[in-house]
Amino acid sequence: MRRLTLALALAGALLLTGCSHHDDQPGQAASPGDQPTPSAPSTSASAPASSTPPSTPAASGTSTAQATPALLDWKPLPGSTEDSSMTNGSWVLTVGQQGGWWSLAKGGGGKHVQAPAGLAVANQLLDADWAVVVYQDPNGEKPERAVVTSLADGSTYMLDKSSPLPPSSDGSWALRGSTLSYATDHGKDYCLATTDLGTKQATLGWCAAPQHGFSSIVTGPSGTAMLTFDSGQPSCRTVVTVSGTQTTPFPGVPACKGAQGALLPSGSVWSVVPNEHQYQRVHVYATTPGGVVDLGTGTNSTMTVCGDSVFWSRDAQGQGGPADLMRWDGSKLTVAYQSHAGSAFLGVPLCADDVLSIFSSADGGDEQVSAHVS
Amino acid sequence: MRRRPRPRTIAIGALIVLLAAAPFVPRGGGDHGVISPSGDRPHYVPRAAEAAGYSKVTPAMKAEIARVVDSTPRTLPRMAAGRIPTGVVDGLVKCADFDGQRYCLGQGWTTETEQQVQARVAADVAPLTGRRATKAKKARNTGDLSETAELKRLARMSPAARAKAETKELTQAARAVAKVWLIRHEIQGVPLPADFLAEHPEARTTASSAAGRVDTNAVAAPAAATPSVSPTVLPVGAGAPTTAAPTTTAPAPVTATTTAPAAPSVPTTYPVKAKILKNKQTAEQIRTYWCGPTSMQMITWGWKQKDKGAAHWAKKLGTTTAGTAITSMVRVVNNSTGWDKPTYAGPYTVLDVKSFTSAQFFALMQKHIAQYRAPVILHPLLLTRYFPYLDHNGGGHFQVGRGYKTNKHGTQMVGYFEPWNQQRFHPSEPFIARVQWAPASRELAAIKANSLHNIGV
Repeated sequence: MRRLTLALALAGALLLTGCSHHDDQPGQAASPGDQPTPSAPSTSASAPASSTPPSTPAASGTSTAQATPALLDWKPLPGSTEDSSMTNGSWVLTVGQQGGWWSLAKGGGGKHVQAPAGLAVANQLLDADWAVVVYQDPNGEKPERAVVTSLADGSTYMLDKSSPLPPSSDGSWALRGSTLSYATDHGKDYCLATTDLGTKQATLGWCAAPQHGFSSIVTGPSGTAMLTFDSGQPSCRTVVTVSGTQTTPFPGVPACKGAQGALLPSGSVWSVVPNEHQYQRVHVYATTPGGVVDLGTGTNSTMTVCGDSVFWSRDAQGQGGPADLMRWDGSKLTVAYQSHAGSAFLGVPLCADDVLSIFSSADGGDEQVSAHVS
Repeated sequence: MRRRPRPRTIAIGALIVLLAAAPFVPRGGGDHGVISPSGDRPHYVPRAAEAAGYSKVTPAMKAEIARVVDSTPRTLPRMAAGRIPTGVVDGLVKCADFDGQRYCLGQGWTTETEQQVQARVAADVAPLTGRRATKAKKARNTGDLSETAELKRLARMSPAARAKAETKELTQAARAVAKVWLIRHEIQGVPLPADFLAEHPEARTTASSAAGRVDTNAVAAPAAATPSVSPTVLPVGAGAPTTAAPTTTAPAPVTATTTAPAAPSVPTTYPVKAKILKNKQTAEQIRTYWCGPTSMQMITWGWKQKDKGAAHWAKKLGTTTAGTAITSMVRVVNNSTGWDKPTYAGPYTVLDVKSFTSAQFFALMQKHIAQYRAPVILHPLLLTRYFPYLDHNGGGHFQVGRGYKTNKHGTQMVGYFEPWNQQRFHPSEPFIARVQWAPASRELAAIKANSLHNIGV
């Protein structure tokens, strides 16, 4: 189903695309001998015109939110900044830099649990009562497996190929409360599954059409959103709301340009990729009862719901400035965290219960910190 | 009777002109890519510039190469169960001093001491238990050759074959020493040795072209604009200079005993943005461990205007399922393209950028793309922390650096060809285009996160 033969065919065609010149000197037109491309303001010269959508997806009714500082009370996380740590305020779940080990302990530290031979830790998930560590075959050939730990009593079990809805070999994961969301192979279908970690009851959700897939599962108190896509190059990407076995596209998102979505009681937050050649940069919007609000730029794949708000990272605006963690609570845009200044950027914010953890890098130093969001 | 100027006189004249320009060569930094000397920041016009050509391998260099190669034990400690004993690291990771710059086998030109490099490599290849970092093999191996794999490869060689390989790598490095000196000087502010141009004619410009570079209408910048700094270069095994920042003072400089003389300037600007190579001359890797061959496919495609396919380059590079060594990448660029000509980048070599700031890295990209008009071999660690748009972490990786710009938000960006199409190997992930731009700070951080933290320039 999801084995994207179309993608392979297109890739093969791309590989066959060559130039008929046989010169060994770079003297041809647009060859390396040319002068560098003259400057052009703001847009990438490498981007085809068709890949640049309107800067404002919603043609009317769009307002622009101005961010104000409302920094949370950030505390340093224990351990090296080379490793990825997150906390729920009590427990600290850490994964080694390249997924070779993980540890879980109150206050940090703890024994390093090595990933099994041939596997690496691909995801870390933590909530008030549960911790989940996902092992993945780096080559994507074996099914993923998840170590589930009850924080109440320290007991563990494995979600794997013996489970009613086993994890697929590759996919997105999300944890909210005791509900774990992930991808599963169901027959020939690639589907969204949920498992209640307490009862171990698994539920099959929406299944992707052939030649389609999904990723970026974002769960929140108002529901689950994710990104669906096809095998095109670029993929036609659609941000959707998931309800049972159905998905509904977010309204107002430019066709095929979606990046991420999240749901709040007051509406939704979504992002688009304005330029396929700057896939890292997204533009973020909120849909509210009053219309669409422009929330500015962000970093792709960093959106998360924590507490009553949606958070995402924004790289430094200018070389000397700090990177910001942005927050939208449904009515106002604030800066929840600011890094040191200078060549700054943030990692992906990780939410556990109502505690957010974030890695930041800047000329002034790297740090890994956490804060309660409410 | 008036005598005609002798070639020596002409050469000295050219040397003086070039030294006069030296204080005001690019340092990179802000101003939307405009390069100017620190201080008054007058507005300058661009100048043409060339890279240093291949350096002559002097008798002193040959002796140094022989010293390093001869120091390799004929018999290395036995490796058991994949463990690499310290003796293997110390026996294979060695450094040579060429004209005051240090080159370490498999690592590149570095400001670290040999002992520091050996200690770092020993830590990187140590067993997992008790070590903070993990081995690259745990992540998706997208194709660079890890330190562990490189040491195992060398250890398997016969002593004669190993000596031949080491000699070849060190000779190739020695031939790039003038280029490295100029990068240290222009990007990192290290003064050139007083006799540098006398010793390295390949770094000089001709009298006529030097004259052509001087814009006599340009404003003569104030003299003494060059910061007086001590070089970071040290003899092999000497105490550690930890950074090449202009304010660093090294305890024991070897050859660089004077600062470059200050004089009226020939200042330089770069375009606000520049890129090379054609967007359509890109390819995605068709094997998980072929980022090296695929990057080389794109680099050579841009030179030859002909696509020979990744398989061809995998053979040239000696790529195995363990990946491709960056030393092989620079070797093949030098042997199979003209990007190494003095009119382009000069000899490609491996440069440790651990000590580079983001501004220095961006300045190096500017220099390489706008002046050299030649691609850079980027060598990051493919972690989602640095490339969050990827669905999962990868290992050491190669990309083709081919552009720079400062966007409307003031962020310095680097343009690159990304051979890794995550959707090819992981169909549950969306397609990402081969042509990408990302903040320079993220790219540099990803390169520094790679245990080798080097690039090919």
